[in-house]
This record gives sequence, C-alpha cells and structure tokens, in this order.
Amino acid sequence: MENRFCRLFLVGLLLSNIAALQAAELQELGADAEVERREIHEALIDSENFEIGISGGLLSIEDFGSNTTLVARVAYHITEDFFAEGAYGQSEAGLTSSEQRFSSAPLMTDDERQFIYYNLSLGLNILPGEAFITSGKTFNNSLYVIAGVGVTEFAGEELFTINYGVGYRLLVNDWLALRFDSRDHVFNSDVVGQKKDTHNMEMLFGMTLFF
Amino acid sequence: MKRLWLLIFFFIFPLHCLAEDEIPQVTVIDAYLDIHSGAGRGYPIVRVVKQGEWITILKRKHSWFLIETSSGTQGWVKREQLERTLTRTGEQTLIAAPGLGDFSQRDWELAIMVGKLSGARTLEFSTLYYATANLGLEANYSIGLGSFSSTQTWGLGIQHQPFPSWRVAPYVGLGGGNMRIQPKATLVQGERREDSYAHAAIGLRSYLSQRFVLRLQYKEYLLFNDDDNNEEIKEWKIGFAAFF
Repeated sequence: MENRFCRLFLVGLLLSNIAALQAAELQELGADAEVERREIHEALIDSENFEIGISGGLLSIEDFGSNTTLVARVAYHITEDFFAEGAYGQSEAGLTSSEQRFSSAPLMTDDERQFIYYNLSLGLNILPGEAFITSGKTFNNSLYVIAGVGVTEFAGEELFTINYGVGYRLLVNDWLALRFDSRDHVFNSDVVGQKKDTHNMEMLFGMTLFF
Repeated sequence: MKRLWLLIFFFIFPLHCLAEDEIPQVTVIDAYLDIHSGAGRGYPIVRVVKQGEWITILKRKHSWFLIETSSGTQGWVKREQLERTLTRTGEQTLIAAPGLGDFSQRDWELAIMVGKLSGARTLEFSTLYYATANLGLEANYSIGLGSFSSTQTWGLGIQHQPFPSWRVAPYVGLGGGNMRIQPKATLVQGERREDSYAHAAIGLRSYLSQRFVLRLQYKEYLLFNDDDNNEEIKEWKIGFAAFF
C-alpha cells in the first residue's frame, strides 16, 4: 500500500515537472509573447500589510495595584499613515489598599480578579524617520498615536472601554519590528462602591512580524 | 528514504527556477526614480535609479514597493513612481489599486460600529453580502454594555441601497433576530431574558479611500416580550467598513 502511494506520488511529480519543463522551453523560444504581461500581476508581488505580535508589560488597574500583562495583537496597515489593530490582553488584579490594611474579606473571588480586555483601534503613524544606533547602523522608526474601543471583563462584569495611547515602532528589518506602547484603558465602574471613570495605565514592550 | 527526498528535491528544483523567472522586472522611463529607506514618504531618499535601468519588484507594503536594482541595492519606491516604468513587453506598468469604482461593485462588506442603544454603549460586528448591486444580506452580532444590564444581539436582515454608485450611498434595512438581556451581577432583582425582535434601519455609507467606508446607522428594534408588552428600542451607530 505504501509502495503504491509512493509510486503514485512520484509519477505525479514527474508529470508536473514535464509540464514545467515544456513551459520553460516555450518561454526560451519566445512563445510567451502571448502571455498577458501588460499589468504587473499583483499576485506575483508578496504584500506585507499585516502585522502580528505579542507584548508584555505592566498594567496598573485603578484601586487594585499593578500587575504583569500579556497582549496579543494583529494589525492591518491600510496606508502608510493609518493602521487598524485588534488586541487581546490578559492580566490579574491585586488587592485594594483597604483589603491590605484591614485584611477584611476579599472584595472579589479569584475568578473575578482576572482582567481581560479586547479592543479594536485605529493608529496614525507620526514622525517617521531613521534612528542611528551607531554612526553606520540605522533603523527606520516612527511614533504612532492610537485610540479605539473595546470590552473589558473584570469583577464579573463586561465594561465598555475606551483606549488611547502613544507607541513607538522600531523596524529591525523589512519584516520584524520592536514596539513600545503606553495605553490608558478607561471604563466606568462601581467595583469599589462609588461609580467612577477608572484609568488603567499600561506599559508594554513587544515584538511584531509583518506578513 | 533519503533517496526519495533527494529525488523530490531535484524534481521540485526546476519548478522553483521557473518561479524566479516570473518575478516582475521593470525599466525606468522617467529621468530617475527615488529609492527611500522605508515604506513611507517620511523616510529619506537614499539612492536614485537612472533612466533605462532595470529593477526587480520584491514585495509590497500598502502603496510602497520594495525593489532591487541590478547592482543589488534594495529600497522602497512609491506606487505612483513605480508606474512610470515599462514592463518587459514595453508596456507601461499598471498596478491595480482599489478605488471608488470597486466600491460600487463590491460583493462583501465587513463592518465594526459603535453606538448607543437606549443608554447602553454597543459594539457591533456585521457581514454583508450583496446578492445584487442594490440588495444585500446582512448578519450581525452586537454587545451592549449599560449601567444596569448587558445585552447580546444576533440578527439577520436585508438591506436595500437605491443608488449603489453614489459616493455617499443611503440604505434602508429590515430584519430580525434575538436579544439576550443580562442584568448586572451587582443588582439583586432582574433575571436574564431572551426575546426575539424585528428591526428597521436607515443609514448612510460614505466612501473614504481604498477599501474603506464610513457607516452611519439608525435602527429601531421592536422586542417581542413574553407578556405581550412589546418594547421599542432606538439605536444610533457609527463605524468603519471594509469591502471586498
């Protein structure tokens, strides 16, 4: 059975190769003049408009201390100026100061302390230029401002969240970039009793790939 | 087994060579062509390619192209400049770019919108398929996050746009679906309920650039409650859509 499969596979390869060789011969003879070549076929050019990556850093959850955070992101570069980005982040809330000081009953269960957010944002590249690491080595880089909307799951609730911030992208080469992000996630919550807009600041460092 | 791999390698190798032949090469017709260090107008011009020189197009990032000169230098060229070249057959290079013409002939649309549904903030994702130039079928999912409850909505509908070729194209829609309303955990009373609804919508699409559209929509829901006490809810939304 295995033998038969192997033979079939090889025959298939041989046939495809003969066809390829014939095409190559035809091309050498100049018979490809009929082939449509007026337009550069887009499919032949590999486009790299997507950016995918992960970042790690610190998230300071208002009233609940700071904790490590991990974020996955996918971006689509619409033009040289604008990009749309979707992000998913995960962190965990610590104890409020009153919980620590008075060692009272915890405000939330461990499950409710999970801080998960997902959002969609629009970024604008500003101040593009070159960064000189040494006198002979330069890297392209740019700052960007970004803002968007999303959902935060925290304290057993889903909260409408606005995010905005500034970031920095250093292009190591054509397909690899280092990123530094600072973000503020704003949502209205009454977790600590009083209803208020909470600001949750995040600092991230990460790496992205273009494809 | 090793021999099999060797065989496969030799069989595939000529195919690979052929693929290399198809990499697009063009020659410059303007006095010169600017090569930037990065894919953006802010990155400096590091070299120029002279008239008559051949360049190879390697890859693309939005409207910028990574090219290689015959001497092996790589850099980025803007689409408008790259179109000032000739292909091997002597025709001027044309690079397809999506535009307003594609907007009126779109088949699919993906949208994300934010809005207000009787005081609650909503986020909606929708997909639309155009069966004809005027008539589209839409499926949507939205989350509403309010002070007292959160909602989840699934819906289906049809949309009609009387003027598909206009840059700012109005539309009307009808449909129905299911809405699940979950009171907040911190509230004592109130229980989860699920109601079906019918909706009517009116909206506008405004073509922005490339494959992107701005969408504005007003929707009225008629919720069919169990106790025969139908409820009307109004919703405003604004968002972006991409079409294909």
